[in-house]
Amino acid sequence: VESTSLGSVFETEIPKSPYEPPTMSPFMLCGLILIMALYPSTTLAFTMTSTLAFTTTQPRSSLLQRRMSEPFEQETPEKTKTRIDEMIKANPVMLFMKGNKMFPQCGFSNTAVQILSTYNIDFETCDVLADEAIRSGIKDYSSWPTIPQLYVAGEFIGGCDIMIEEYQNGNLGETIEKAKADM
Amino acid sequence: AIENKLSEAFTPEVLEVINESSGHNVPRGSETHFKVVIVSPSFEGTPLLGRHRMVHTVLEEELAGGVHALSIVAKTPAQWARA
Repeated sequence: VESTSLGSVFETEIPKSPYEPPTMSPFMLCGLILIMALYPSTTLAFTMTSTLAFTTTQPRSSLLQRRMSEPFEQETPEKTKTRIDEMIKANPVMLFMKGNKMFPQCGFSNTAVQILSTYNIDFETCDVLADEAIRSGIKDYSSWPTIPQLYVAGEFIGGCDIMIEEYQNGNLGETIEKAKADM
Repeated sequence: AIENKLSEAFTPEVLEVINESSGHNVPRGSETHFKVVIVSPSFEGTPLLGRHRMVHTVLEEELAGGVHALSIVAKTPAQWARA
């Protein structure tokens, strides 16, 4: 999931034109020459790779590549729905949450992750905070107004409260065992 | 308002609506995170998911408005007596 905004990558990291040298003061210039004299091989490596970066149009990530080649368009609700469908089909245990497995960004999402971690399974998470289309899309998709949302074997289980109750009465364990068997 | 709607819809034996917004990263006085404890015979025979959805339908307006987190405990009188 792409977490940096497109705008910031463009504006701050890539200079306006690849053929314009960055401006620098005489002080910096002397410092640079000193470094070049002291560390010639490093300088050479640096020069070569940065020339390569600035003279080719190699995008920095595949996401950037896709966005650069396609005209920018708002994702349609159908497209979002398809994406959600695919995620749920591809992953026997799929959690839509705020933040991700390693860094949940909400108490309820955290509880959901904790519960799932007690079962010895792989599960996939989707960070709705990083994906506005999914954030609203999943609420329509499940007819469920809150995050987190758990899907096991393509079936909607519920939110955090339901997970807690089902965890305590053993139902969640059963459902997950079944999904594990089918994996 | 939440209390009234739920009372009407479910004629509950027990109804508690607690504003949990203070426990979350939102400004003071917000009404964004709520906990609802509701015990009603209307929940008889309905699975958990169904009960939650019933509550969601009743509180549709609020959910579309400011409330974005709802914690629900929905039990039948029998379950409540047991727990």
